[in-house]
This record gives sequence, structure tokens and C-alpha cells, in this order.
Amino acid sequence: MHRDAIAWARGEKADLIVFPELSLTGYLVMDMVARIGLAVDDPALAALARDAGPLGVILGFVEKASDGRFYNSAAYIKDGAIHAVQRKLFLPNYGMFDEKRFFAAGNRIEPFDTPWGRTGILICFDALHPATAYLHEQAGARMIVTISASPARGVGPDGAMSGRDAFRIAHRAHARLLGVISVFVNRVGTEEGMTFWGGSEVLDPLANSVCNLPEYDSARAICDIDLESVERARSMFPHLKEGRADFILQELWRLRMGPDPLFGQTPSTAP
Amino acid sequence: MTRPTSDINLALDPWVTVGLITEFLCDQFEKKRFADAVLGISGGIDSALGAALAVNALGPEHVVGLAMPAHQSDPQSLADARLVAKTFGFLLLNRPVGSVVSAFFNGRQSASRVRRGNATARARMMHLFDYSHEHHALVIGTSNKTELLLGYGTWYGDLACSINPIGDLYKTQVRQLADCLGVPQPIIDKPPSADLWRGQTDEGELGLAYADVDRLLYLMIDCDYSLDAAVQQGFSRPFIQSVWDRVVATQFKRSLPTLAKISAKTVGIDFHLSRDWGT
Repeated sequence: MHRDAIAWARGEKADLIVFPELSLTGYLVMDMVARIGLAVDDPALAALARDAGPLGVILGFVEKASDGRFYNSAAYIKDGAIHAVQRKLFLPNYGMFDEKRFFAAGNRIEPFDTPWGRTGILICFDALHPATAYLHEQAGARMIVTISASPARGVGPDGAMSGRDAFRIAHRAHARLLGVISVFVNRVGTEEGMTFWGGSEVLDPLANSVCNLPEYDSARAICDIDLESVERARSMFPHLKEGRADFILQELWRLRMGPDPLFGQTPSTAP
Repeated sequence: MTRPTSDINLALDPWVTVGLITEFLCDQFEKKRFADAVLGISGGIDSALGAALAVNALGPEHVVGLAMPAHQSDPQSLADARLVAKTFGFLLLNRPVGSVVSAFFNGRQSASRVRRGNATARARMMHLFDYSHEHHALVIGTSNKTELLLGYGTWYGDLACSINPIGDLYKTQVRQLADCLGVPQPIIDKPPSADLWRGQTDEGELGLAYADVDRLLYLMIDCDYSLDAAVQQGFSRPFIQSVWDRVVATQFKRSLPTLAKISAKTVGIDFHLSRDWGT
């Protein structure tokens, strides 16, 4: 499936192709992690990298680390090599999800440079934690790619589906509040009775939809992205310029650790 | 009991739901390498909806229904089963189970109606799985979410199946979907019954109304309301307690049998494999 899609994307002269979370294996890997985990230098990934050639590829795989841990990871591949690996940071372990049983959580955001600018990857649940996208922005990302395996759940009246709503809101918030190109690629198909809802979409930095794929059906499309839209959006809405990372760091420190031992309580603005 | 005053909304988008169930059925039949389905057709709304969904996903030529009347079944049930088959265009076979159940209890006239009812449900299960083996057809179950949560079904009887497309729909939602898919109105309107003895109705036997219990289960299971919060929504405490006790007491019917843990990796405890793996 990956080889097919990569060949298609190369034929279309695309710069980047994005696959969903755990695209190489399927989502419900469970006890199979030890049998299907790939080291970053595994020949199977190297073969895909050779196939891709100049095409950039973001895919999801079970990463087997040298210390014996397994990660739900994404790889960025280009020019025959793996340039970056982003491990999933927030492993959902509630309701229908049981990822902590099978995976270890990553501890770093790993944005990387590409010909189209610095890019950060979020994996599914990571995107629903607002700080992750913010950290990518602070690390210089101009594009955030969220790869997902989000199942349909919480179906209600009139097209409502709670599983989708949070992602659509987060995806738009990333684009609009951080001034980044926001790419969301979600799995389709069914595993053990749960159906992934698809609905992949690319947003420009003003959260306008540049490309969207149907829900539930397998689909692919070529999307042109205006890279200068990031500068224009950041000029119009200078969240990054006006941001106060030091203040956020100071307040997080205070909330987590209590008053500064040297200077006491942070001065309040109240009289 | 007091009618709840809050706006508990069990309504579903019917076409999103039908789409998800169709995708589920197509996926399961493909992965399990079956083309044909078999299901028991009781003449009630649950099996009618199950049949409608199976026909929608697989085509009427790939769906076979078994009507399995018992001696004590209401004759109207068989007529309704035929109406369902005619409406959705699938083949209905008549496989009476009365003589099997009578033979089983031969000389034991004291057997209670619940024992006879369980034996009837298990005789039907034997027919379905025998048909499954003979014709390579997957057994579709049609227990709904209300029944599963209340444990209102016979273990290894009507609860036995390979897959169940309506097990996450409350009875109220089954009604809504059945209406959308064109299940005949008399079948939607008649009082739900397991039809295991004359005059039996689900609501009479359970001692509750589906409309009430569905709203309560939705609050407690889907929305995580505590018992106290459910009282605030207008349900009486004894009603809540009886429903909750029933849910807790019937967990065994929703699980594999409990195993004694001996080895490092035990089936059902710490051996985790997707049933879809490798398909």
C-alpha cells in the first residue's frame, strides 16, 4: 500500500506524502508490537526510503528502540534516509484505548527542517493536548502534521460524532492561533468493529480548508500549499511575535513547584 | 415513576449509523472470508433490523433467515417473520424447535418455563451454528445494547453469535433505525417479547419500560452519571439501584468464562490479540 501510494505521489511530482498513524501496521497491534516493531535502521524502512527517492514521506510505524522499548512513532523520510522520528507523547489509556500497555511514551518534540520549512509531527492524541502544538511553534515549526487513527464514536443526531469534534477544533486552533499550515491525516477502514472516520484535511494558517478528503472512504489528493501564507498570517496575527514564552515558563514553574524559593510569590497585578 | 425532566437525547443520525454498521459488516465478512449470513428471525424488531442491515451490506441473496418457532410461540410471530423476509427480500427457512425441546425435557414435566425458555434459545443457537457450518454462513446476532447491559438473554442461546451489528444500539435507537430502514410498522409497534411462553413481554418480565431504562442506562453508562446524579435527573432511587444491580450481576454474560490464572500468559487475562490481526 505504501509503495503504491509513494509511486503515485512521485508520478504526480509531489513534494510530500503523509500516511496516517501506525500506517505500516494498522492501529490495533496489541501484543504483536514485539513481532512487528522496526528499528529505525531496519531494512524495510530503508527500502521504502529508496522507493521514495526525492519524495518526502511521513508514515507511522511501531518503533523498536535499542533499549527494548516500543514507541508509536512517525518517521520523516527523504532522499533515501530517515531524517526525523517523532514518538507519540500522549498515549491514550482510557475508554476504548489501551496504548500505555503496549507502548512507551516519547519525551521530546522533534521538529525537523524540510525544503518547505520547519515541520513538526503530532500523533493523534498529541494533537488534543494544546501545549504540544505550541511547543512545535516555539521550536520554529511553520507546518504541523497530525497523523491519526481516530475511530468514530459518540454518534448522535444530525451528523454529530464526538470523536471527530475535538480533532476538528484542535486542528483549526493550531492553524489559526499558531499561524502554521496544519495537515491532518486520519485512518479509514475498520478494525475489530471500530471504524476510523478519515476526513483528512489541510488548513492554511488562517484555518481555511485548502484540501479535504471524504469521511470514511479511502482517498488521496494532491494539494498545493502556499508557503508564504505563513508570513502573511503571522503579519496579520502576530501570535508568535507577541508570545511570552518566558512568562508561560515562569507560571508553569510556579504552578508546578510553588513560590520561587529566592523571590517568593510572583508579584500579582492586584493592588 | 417520575419522568426525567432533562433533555437526554438518544437520537442517532440514522445514515451515519447505518453507514458505520454497513462498513462494519462488509469488513467483517471480508476479513472472516464469508459471503453469506444467517440469522434467527423472530418476527420482532431487533432481528428485523439485523436482517435489514445485513441485506443492505451483503445483498438479499446473501442473507438467510431461520424462523424457529417453539410449541409455545405465538403463531403471529411466524407470520411477522415472513413479513420481514418478504419486505427485505431474503430467504426464510422454517426450522421449528418445539420437538427438540420436548424431547429434551421428556419425562421431566416439572421443568420451569425459564428452563424451557433457555432450552428453546439454545436449540435455536444449534440450528444457526449448524446452518453456519453446512452453508459457510456467518451467524449474525441481534441482541441490542439494552438487553446486553441488563443481561436479558440466554447465555450460549440467543446471545451466541459470530458478530453483532446492533449490540451498541439501545432499544430506543433500534426503533429509530428500524423506522428509517423500512421495517414494517406492525413489527415496530408490537410489544417486545422473547416469545418463550405465551403472553411473555420483555417489559412485563423485566418490570420496567424500555423508554425509561434506556434513558437511565444512557446516563449511567454513556455519560458516566453517578447514581446520585441520576436521581437529580428525575429517576427514582429504587429504580436506579435495581437497574444498576442487574447490570453488575450480569457481567458474566458479557465476558469469556473466568479462568484460573496459572501461566505467564493467560487467555482472556493477559494475552491481547486483535481478532482482526492478519486478515
